[in-house]
Amino acid sequence: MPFSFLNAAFLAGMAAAALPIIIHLFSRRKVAKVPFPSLQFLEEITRRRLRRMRLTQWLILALRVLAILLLAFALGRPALRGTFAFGKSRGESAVAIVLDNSYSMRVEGEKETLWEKGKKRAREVVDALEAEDTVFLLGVDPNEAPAEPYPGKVAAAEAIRGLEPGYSTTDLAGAVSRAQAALTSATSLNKELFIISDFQKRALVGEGETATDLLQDVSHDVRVFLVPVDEGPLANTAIIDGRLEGSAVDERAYVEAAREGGNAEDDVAVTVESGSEVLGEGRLLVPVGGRENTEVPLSRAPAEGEPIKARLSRDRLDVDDVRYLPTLGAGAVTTWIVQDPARPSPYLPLALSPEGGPGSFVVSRMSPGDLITADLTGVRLVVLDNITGLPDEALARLRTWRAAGGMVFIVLGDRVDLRSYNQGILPALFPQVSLGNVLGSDEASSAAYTLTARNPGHRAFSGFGVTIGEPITGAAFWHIVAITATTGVRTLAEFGPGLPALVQGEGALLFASSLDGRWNNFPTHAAFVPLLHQSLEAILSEGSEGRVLVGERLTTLADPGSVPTGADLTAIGPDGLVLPIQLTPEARGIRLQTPPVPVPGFWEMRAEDKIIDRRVVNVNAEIESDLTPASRDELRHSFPGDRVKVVEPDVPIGTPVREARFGREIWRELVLIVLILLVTEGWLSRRGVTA
Amino acid sequence: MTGLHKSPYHGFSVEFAEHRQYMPGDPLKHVDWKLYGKSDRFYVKMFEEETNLRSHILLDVSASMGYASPGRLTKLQYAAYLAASLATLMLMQQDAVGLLTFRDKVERLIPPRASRPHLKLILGELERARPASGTKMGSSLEHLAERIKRRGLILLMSDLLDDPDSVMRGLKHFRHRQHEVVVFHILDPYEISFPFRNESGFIDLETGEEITTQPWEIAEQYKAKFEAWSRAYERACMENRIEYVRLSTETPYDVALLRYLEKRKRFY
Repeated sequence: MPFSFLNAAFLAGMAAAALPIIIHLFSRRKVAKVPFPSLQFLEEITRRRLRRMRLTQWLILALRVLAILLLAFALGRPALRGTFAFGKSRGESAVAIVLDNSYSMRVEGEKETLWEKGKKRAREVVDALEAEDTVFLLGVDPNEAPAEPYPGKVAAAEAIRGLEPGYSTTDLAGAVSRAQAALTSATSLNKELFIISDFQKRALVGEGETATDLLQDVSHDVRVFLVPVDEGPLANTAIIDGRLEGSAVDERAYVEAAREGGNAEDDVAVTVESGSEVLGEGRLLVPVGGRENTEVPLSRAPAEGEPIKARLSRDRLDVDDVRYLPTLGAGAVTTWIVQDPARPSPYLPLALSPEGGPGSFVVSRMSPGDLITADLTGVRLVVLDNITGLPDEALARLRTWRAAGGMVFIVLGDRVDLRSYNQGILPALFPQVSLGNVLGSDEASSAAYTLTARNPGHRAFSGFGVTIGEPITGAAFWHIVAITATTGVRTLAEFGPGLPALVQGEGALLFASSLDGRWNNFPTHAAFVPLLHQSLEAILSEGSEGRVLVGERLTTLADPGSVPTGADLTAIGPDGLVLPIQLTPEARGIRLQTPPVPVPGFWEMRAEDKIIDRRVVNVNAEIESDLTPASRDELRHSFPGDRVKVVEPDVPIGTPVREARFGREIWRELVLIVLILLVTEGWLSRRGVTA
Repeated sequence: MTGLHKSPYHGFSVEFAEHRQYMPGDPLKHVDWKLYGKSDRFYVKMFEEETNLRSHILLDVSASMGYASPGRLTKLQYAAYLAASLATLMLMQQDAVGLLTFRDKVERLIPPRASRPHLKLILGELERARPASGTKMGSSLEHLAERIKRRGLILLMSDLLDDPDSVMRGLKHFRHRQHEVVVFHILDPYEISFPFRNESGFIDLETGEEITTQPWEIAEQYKAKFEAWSRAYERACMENRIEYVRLSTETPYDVALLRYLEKRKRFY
């Protein structure tokens, strides 16, 4: 017999049942002792009476205790459920409807989208409610706020009508948790949880994971209805990664796509667009259940902030066919290369910005002394190319600039004053790294070191096709500096075991040899330019223009001087969508942060008219684009128990719901019993029962 | 203090007491002819009258006699004062008075004497009497009845809180041996009226047993039972020609004595 309490908290009142017992014991202790000549008369009178009195006294005590227990029990609103129970429920129902609003629900079916199907099912649930019932509507967005109840079916139906699908992934566990919290706050007899979803397999069980019980925290008095709205297995191809790559003479877009479901292997067209202008086209042959990438050559280098996106040919889910690509501001990454004016090296400036051609970097050569007075506004990258040291004023300015998001590339060499670096430059600009001794031989012919990949999967080695320990280049390195790196620093390449060559920190890169040809011949080798560009692009893209997914926050660290005091700070997204920006002072500057971004596209963080930062936000296609639905068995594993009912697409929802809602509350009967007990107790007490 | 009654026992008297003017009807043998010769007036000689009356005051010193309601004497104190008064009165009437204190057995026995110094002995014993332990009045009375062979007056002062049949058996034993018996039933007003209101644990002074009850609820029943018990004693005493005097400790002693003496007067 299903039995539950609708106000279980009131059961704590049962503790009050101890009061009569305590009072009884207390009053017994307080009985006055009266010496008396003889009890012979009292004994005669009370012997039989005393037995009866004691019996009655215990009876009264039991009645009092029972009355309090039953009253607390009644306040807990006990309810019996089942068709046996005297007709239809007189109690209210609280219903939590989890309507999957992830972007996979945007799949177009034969007649309508899954989303429209889901909304219809949600309306069916609402139609099956009584007027006084409470409805909670929830989505599956991980960032969704706690659910508020809709007072009645009319308001709920109106709310469902206005719902739109989002761009987030499916967080069923979070949605179930929020639904449980909402239902816990309700005190209705019937508590029901409806989950209307396409129930993607990937949303229930991750790759290589086992199914977990998503209902483990849901109260046992909550009935669960799973309402699948799928279209069966669907083939879907999605862009899972994309970026602009290349050098000044070789602009291209890297696009990686994955294909899930379906049987046929079709190649899909890839287009790189800027607005309506097509910058490049390519094709991808993506295997079923696999992924493939391509590099689409671009007709021109995109400008800074230009809205570049890659697009696949349209399929039944178009949200994941588009990838917004972050532009490094090709030709606009303002870069200062700081060199010794007495001995300038041509390699780095030439590699970053070949004269006469379009480049990814706008390069200016500076001397260390120039940094004292030069305006760093707009400069995103400073390269310290084998300089002895920096004047204190220049270092102080660089420190402030760096704190505001500026990036540095430190290249060592024969002019480097190791002590000055360890005590000044590195603590200020790249504190996780310290320099050791210069290693190697002066004999160029007896090259001691080779540059090998330590982290071949890193973007810096894109296209190199190397494995760990494999040489990147045939260049010879006859002098290097032993460096020590602490946590937070990645070693991308090394000269040998324990001899880092290229290390990356947050917004910082350090090369442990020279790039001016004095300690090695690397600048004259083919790997030099691509490794240089791709390494710098890596820190640039992982810095202020890092990739952001829907549901994540836009965040950037700004120079306090770059944010006008009292300015209205907003993030402006697609279709004029505006998010507020919160400012948080930090040691290194001011942290600007938005709420989770709900929509993919190009976003600008603005202080009124001034653009502080640009970002692209994409959907998380790695998980959400796999449209393979979970089988019924898999559903049962994730939602186990007899209380779970799967409502098949051809079954009206109202029928199973109404069947399950039979039952009744029994608090009225309990209150009646309490009254009878109290009347009996009063009658017995008036009869003068004594202890 | 002079008694209000004549001794019912006629003995002989040898000690001159005083002279009184002759009244017609006085026996001529009592005229003091020597004084007539000196004074030329008729006087008759009065002698100290000496009777054979031997009184025994039997005082119950069981623990129940130690009860006193608030502001009052204990029953034992009251009985002791009453006994002292009676002893004094009797000695002044030349009656021999003895004292026996008893609980479940005889505690102290002072044989009857008629001499004045004997009073001091009795008063001292009364002063020392303390309530303790239980009562087996019936057996004690029977034992005493056997010991007191010479016929006399038995004055029992007790709350009679024992088995009435055994008590009456003891008293009848006295009567059987031709003793005159007076029972002073000493009670505390609270025993009679049972005025307790709040729930109380009543502790038996003799046994220590405790009964917790609501007094207001059983008061009427208690009083009825108590009166029936008291009346049963009175009736039984009457049937056995035993004087029964119920005294409450709130009754002044003189009133109690007067009531007693008046009763005795009616007898003699």
